[in-house]
Amino acid sequence: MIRHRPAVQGLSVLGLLVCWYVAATLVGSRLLPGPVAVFQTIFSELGNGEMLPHIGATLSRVVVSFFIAMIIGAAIGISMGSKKHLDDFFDSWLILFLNIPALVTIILCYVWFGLSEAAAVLAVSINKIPNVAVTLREGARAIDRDLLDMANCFKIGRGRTLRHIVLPQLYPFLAVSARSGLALIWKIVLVVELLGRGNGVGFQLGIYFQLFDVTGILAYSLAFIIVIQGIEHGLLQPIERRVTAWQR
Amino acid sequence: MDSSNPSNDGSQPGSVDGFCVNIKAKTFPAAGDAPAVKVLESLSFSISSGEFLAVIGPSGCGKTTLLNLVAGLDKEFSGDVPKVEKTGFVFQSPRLLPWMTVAGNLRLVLGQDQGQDVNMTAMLAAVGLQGQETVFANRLSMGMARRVALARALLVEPDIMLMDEPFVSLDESTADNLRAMLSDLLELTPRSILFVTHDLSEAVRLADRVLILGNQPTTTIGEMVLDRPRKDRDEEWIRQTKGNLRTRL
Repeated sequence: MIRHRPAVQGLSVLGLLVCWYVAATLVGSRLLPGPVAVFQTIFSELGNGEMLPHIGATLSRVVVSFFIAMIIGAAIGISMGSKKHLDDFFDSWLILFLNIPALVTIILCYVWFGLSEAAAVLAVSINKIPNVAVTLREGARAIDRDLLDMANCFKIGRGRTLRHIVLPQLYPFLAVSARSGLALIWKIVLVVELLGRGNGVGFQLGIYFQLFDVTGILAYSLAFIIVIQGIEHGLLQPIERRVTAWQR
Repeated sequence: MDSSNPSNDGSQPGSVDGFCVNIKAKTFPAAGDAPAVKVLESLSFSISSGEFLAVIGPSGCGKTTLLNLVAGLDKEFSGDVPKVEKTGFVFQSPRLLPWMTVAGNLRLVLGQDQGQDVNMTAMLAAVGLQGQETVFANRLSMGMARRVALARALLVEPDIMLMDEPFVSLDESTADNLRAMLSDLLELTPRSILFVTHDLSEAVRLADRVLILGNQPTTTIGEMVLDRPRKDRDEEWIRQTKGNLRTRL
């Protein structure tokens, strides 16, 4: 069964393209361009050098916000998961931040810190940090005390305990928040760009929106979805497979 | 070497002459609706260098708690336990890291990150696991995992070795093999051992001295010295001694 998976997935993508093509042909409107037109736009935008800088700008914002959110979120989550009094105190803060809409954070960051790169990245990070913290708090709570006692008794040392005993137990939680984090962050980055940056995929989408150019909108969206899927399958999943190899 | 004479001389690192444990009281604080429970009271004993002391008592009498106090894992009690350089602990469950290989688990306590260690290879052979270095710990049978846990505790060359029912949840023949193996290893290199169990024949087969715990809160209710060398203990002697011991419970 497993061996057929790539074939099935390929067929499924093809099916989707066919549906799209048929729908676009039936509607016959420039508001729903078919896959051929969209891919033509992608290639011409790539060819004339328009698209790559925008994708690069968006990608670098995604990467920076991703790492900031993962590091700060993990630090908060692990502290709260391992220290009961911190958890009791900050739990309501976390719930508050989890419930602030992304748009509100973005607007406030732009209002308070100006339409700057730092404000943009900050706004995206603040949106993701609470999610990472909640996931990693669960991870820290799930850490096996018996293994920590073992490490303590055999005097394994703080650094080695962290590296060999604590982190391996957190990997599944880190992996979950990394994957959901990537999916969430790039969508927020587009909004941040639409509202207050002069480049990036979100900025381009804003331009095409004003021109009512659906082909351009779909071309930029699809191109960036492909980039994100490439990171997911080419980077995150192989790393996850490596660190969980022992489970098989 | 008189164990009844608690000496308070500063013991040299590496030797545990007069490893004196003196627990005045250990109480678990009230939690929720459960009231505070005093589990251990006036429990003192000492282990001389190379002595195998077995502690027996009914299930739930605080034997594991006692080991946690001696290991320094639980510091909430009144009394004294000696601080030693190196403690080996064989827990009731093997407590190996499932994401590491057998070798990785052993290297961890040796403070190494990679490479082959001659002591490690020899120790694995001694516990009957030669050539199993690269097996992940979660792939081991219970019997093999217990061997690795034993190898890990011995490998640090402990000043005191704590063993918490290390042969439970094994079938009887595997457990017997492991007991014989431990006995052989100790013949080669004697270790000071504090061994808790509820299995009388296991205690009688292995220990130099048996401490009997009982009452609520738990305290020492008896002691028995087993002076026959371990290798001369036949089934008949074990059965008789076990009978004697049972009358003391």
